[in-house]
Amino acid sequence: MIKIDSLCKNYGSFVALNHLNLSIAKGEFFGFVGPNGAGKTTTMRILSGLLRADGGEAFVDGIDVRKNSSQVKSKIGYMPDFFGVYDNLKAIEYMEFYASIYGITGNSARKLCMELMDLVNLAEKAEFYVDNLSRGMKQRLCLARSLVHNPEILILDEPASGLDPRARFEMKEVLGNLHEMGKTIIISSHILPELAQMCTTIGIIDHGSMVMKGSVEEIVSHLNSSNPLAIKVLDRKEEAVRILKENPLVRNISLEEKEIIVGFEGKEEEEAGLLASLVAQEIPVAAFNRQSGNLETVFMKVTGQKEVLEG
Amino acid sequence: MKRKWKINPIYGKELKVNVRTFKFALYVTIYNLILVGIALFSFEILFNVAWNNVVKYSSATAIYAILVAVEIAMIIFIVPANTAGCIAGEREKQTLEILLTTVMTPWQIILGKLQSSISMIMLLVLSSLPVISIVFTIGGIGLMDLLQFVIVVLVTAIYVGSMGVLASCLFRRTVQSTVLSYGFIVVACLVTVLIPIVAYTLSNMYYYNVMMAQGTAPNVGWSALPMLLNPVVTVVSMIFTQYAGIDIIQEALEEMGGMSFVGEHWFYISLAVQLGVSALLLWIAQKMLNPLRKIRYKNKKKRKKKSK
Ligand SMILES: Nc1ncnc2c1ncn2[C@@H]1O[C@H](COP(=O)(O)OP(=O)(O)OP(=O)(O)O)[C@@H](O)[C@H]1O
Ligand SMILES: [Mg+2]
Repeated sequence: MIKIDSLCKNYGSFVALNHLNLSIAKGEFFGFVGPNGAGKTTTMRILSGLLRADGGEAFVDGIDVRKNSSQVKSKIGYMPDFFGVYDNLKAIEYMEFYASIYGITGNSARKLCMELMDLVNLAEKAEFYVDNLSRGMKQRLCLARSLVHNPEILILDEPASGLDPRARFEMKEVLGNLHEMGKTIIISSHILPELAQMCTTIGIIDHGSMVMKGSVEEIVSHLNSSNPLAIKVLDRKEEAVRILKENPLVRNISLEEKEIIVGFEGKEEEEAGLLASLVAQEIPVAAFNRQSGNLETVFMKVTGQKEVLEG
Repeated sequence: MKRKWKINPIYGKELKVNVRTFKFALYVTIYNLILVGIALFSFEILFNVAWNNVVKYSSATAIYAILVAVEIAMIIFIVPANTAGCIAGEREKQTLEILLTTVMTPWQIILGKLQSSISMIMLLVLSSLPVISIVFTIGGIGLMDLLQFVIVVLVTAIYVGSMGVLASCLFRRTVQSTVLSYGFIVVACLVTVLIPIVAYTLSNMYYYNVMMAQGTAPNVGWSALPMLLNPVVTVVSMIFTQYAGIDIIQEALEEMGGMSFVGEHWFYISLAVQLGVSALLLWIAQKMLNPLRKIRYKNKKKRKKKSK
C-alpha cells in the first residue's frame, strides 16, 4: 500500500531523512517509533503531500506522491501533530466544511458528519463551537475530519499526545475499530506500551533511516539476544566476576545488589558454556537468565547507540 | 460524470461565518450611514439657495463623483487588510496544513479566499447603490455610467485583493503581509504617477535648457504607461469623462507627446491590464502556496532565523 524507497530530505545542511526505506502492506496498523527529531513527522508530511522530498521516491497505492499528489490526497486522511481549528464554527459545521471540499453537501453531508462524530464519541458536542472543545475533543474531531472522504489510509501524527488516560483509551478503541474496518493506519507516538498493544507492526526510525521493522514480538525477540544476562549468585561474588571476565564474549559487567548484570554477546550454547564454567568452580548460581525486553527497552537500546543498529 | 457547478467550499464557509456575525450587519449599516451623510451634506452645499445664488442641477453629478471616490478609496484601503490575513492567518492558526492535505488545489484555496473577501466588499457596494442612485432622481448620470462604476469597483477589488492574497502567501505573519500589501498599493497608486511627472519635468527641462525651446520636446508619453497599473487613475479618468466629458488622460498624454491610442481607450485598456496583473499575482500566489514547489522560500527564511 505504501512504499518508500530511499527517501531523502534535507533542511539546509541538516539531514532529516537519510535514504529511508519502508513498505507498509494494506490493512497494516503501523506504529512509527523514534526519538524526537528522528524524522517521523517529516516522513508523514512527505507522504501527505505537504513536503517535497529531496531524493528517493514514495508511492501510495502505486501512485507517486510527488507526481500525482492530488490523487494520493484523496486516499489519505492526515492528522498533523499540531493543528488549529476555525473559530466561529460549530463542530458539525467544521465537519461539513471539510465534507464540502470533497463535494459532499446538504443532508448527506450532515448525516455523514454526524456518523463520524458518533464514531469518535463527539455526537453530543455537535452544536458546540469548535473553539470551546477541550484539547482531547479537538483531537477526536480532527480524527473524524480526516475520515470525511473515507480514505483507505490514515496517517496520524501523535494523535494521542496530550490526551488523558481515558481519552487515550477511547482513541485506541476508535483506531482499533477503524483498523477492523480495513483501513491502513500509520501512527506515530511516544507511548510505546500502547503502540505495542495496538499495532500489527512497528518500525523504529532514528537519524532519518529505518532501524528495524517487524511485529512487536519479532522486534523484541530479535533484540533479546543482545539483552544483558542477569546472574544471581548466593556467595563468592568476586570470584564469579573474575571467572566471567575471563570469558571473551563478556562485554561489560555491572554489580547490583543481588545480581550480576553481564553484557554478553553469545548464542544460547555459549550462555550454557558460561553457566557451566561458573558451576565448575562451584559458584552457587541461583538464577541465570536473559533479561527479557519490551518495546521500551528495545527502543532505548536501538536508538541509544549507533553501533548496535548497524550490526 | 456530470459536474455540477459548485460553490467554492472556502467561500461557502466564510460567507456563512461572516454573514452570521453581528459585525457584518454593523458594517453595512455604518457604511451606508456614512454614504448617506456624505450625500446629504453635498446636497446641502450644492443646492441650498442660502449658500449658492445659482442652483446648478448638473452639480448633482458632483455628488456621484464624491460617492464613487469614497467607495473606491474604501476598497483600496479595506481589501488589502482583509485579504492580507487570508493565508497568513490560516498559517498562524495552524489550519492551513489540513487544508493543503485535502483535495483542494492551491488555486481553489486562493480563489476561494479572494472570492470571500471581495464578495463582502461587493455586498457593501451593492448595498450602497440605492444611495448612489439618489443622483438619478436629479439626473446627470446614466445607467451606462452606473454600470461602468460597478465594473470598476469589481476590477479594483480583484486587483487590490490579488495584491493582498499574494502578500499573504509570502509571509507567515499577518502583520508582515499587511505591510507588504499596502506597499503594493503605494507602488500602484503613487509611484506609477510619479514616473510620468518626473519624466515630463525632465523632458521640459531638456527642451527649454538644452534645446533652447527649438523644435519639438522629447516624447515621454511612454512614461505614462505604468499608470495603466493605477486603479485611481482609472477611476479618475472615468469620473472626468462621465462628469465633465473631458478625457484628462488623453489630454495629458497628448501634452506629453503621444500614445494616443492608449490615451483614447485608457479606461478599458487599464482595466484589462489590471485584470492581467491580478491573474499574474494570483498565479504566483498559488505557486507559493503549493508545498511541493521547487523553491523552498519559506524554509530558507526559517533557517536563517535559526542560525542567528
Ligand atoms: N521546517 C524545518 N526546518 C528545519 N529543520 C526542520 C524542519 N522541520 C523539521 N526539521 C528538523 O528535522 C528533524 C526531523 O524532524 P521531525 O519533525 O520529522 O522529527 P520527529 O521524528 O517527528 O520528532 P518528534 O518525535 O519530536 O515529533 C528535526 O531535527 C528537526 O529539527
Ligand atoms: Mg513529530
